[in-house]
Amino acid sequence: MIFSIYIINKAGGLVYNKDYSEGLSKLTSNEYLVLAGTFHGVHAITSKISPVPGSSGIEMLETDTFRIHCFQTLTGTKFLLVADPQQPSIDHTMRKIYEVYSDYCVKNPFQNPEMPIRSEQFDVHLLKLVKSVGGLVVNSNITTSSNPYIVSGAVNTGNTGVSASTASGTGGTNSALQSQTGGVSSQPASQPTITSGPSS
Amino acid sequence: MIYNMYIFDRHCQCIYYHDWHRGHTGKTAFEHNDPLSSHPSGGGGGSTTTTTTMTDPRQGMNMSLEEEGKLVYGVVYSLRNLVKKLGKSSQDGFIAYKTSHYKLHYFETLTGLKLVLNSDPGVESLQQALRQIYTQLYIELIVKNPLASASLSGGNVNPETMGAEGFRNGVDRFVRSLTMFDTL
Repeated sequence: MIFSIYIINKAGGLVYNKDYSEGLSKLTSNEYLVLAGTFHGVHAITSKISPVPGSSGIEMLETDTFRIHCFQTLTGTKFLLVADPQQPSIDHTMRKIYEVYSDYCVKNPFQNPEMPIRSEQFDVHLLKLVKSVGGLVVNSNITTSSNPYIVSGAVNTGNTGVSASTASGTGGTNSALQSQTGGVSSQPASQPTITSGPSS
Repeated sequence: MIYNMYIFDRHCQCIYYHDWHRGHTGKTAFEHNDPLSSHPSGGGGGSTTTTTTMTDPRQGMNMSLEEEGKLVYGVVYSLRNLVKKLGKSSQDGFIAYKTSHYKLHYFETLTGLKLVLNSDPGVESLQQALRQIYTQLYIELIVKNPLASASLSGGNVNPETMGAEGFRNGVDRFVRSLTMFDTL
């Protein structure tokens, strides 16, 4: 079971956070920022207090009910994966998250690497990944947690314009396949994913 | 492989330090025969040494034991709070963390005493060992020894000489008896 995924930029700011399963207490957005900053600092210190020289920062934090896995890229971005202690193949999942991040955030020309990630494509693909590794537990919580996608995709709200423009930006650059639908906007393209999401 | 051990009291002070496999790493500044080198009177030259460690690219090579103790305390304190905030039940606690080169095991008693043990990353949970150190050694040799507990809680007794040798020897013997003590 995967509880949540956080992405921390190289300055210690939280650029992305998403909860997937119940099990951890809900925090306010401010508390998430504090948490990210704390972890960033602790990560730096843990490599200093190593009893043997040349240690990396914290890679896995273990508690009674969950584990926090941390993967730091060469550019300093940190991916935090909060998961059940029994969750298998964390390394693989981490690589896949990095892959999704590279595809839908790094390759997106409208995405500043230090700024919060607002990309519907990224959300959708991350959710798909979490599902594929069995990160979600099948119960009513899934529909509530995947609700935001349905809302932003189907109902016209204020921020749909923003997410649609970033999404079509991703579509235009990602591949030739995407750019065919990119002119229309990628909303119809992501529609099947969204509707099939809760049912699968 | 067991590297070292810290005990912090509830006033954030490092009241005990012991290391085992650290001599070959070049940490020559470390003298593990002074049991309480981070008692508050030694905090004089703190600011100057802090700046040198901050600018030094080598990782923690010339940090004083006192400074290191403070950093370790800061780390476990922050992580403990982080875990408490994130976890749903209040008794949900931070057990250990792992980096590429070491694993830090953490055990906290109800009285706020914090036991920290560093080992190589391959070691399984040492919670039980830390609990044993607390119940069988700390309780018996420190809490039940008025002289030692007075010195460890910052009383007027000279902490360097009074009462704590039995505990130090006991911890040394206990840790050396662990199966993972010498094996990598």
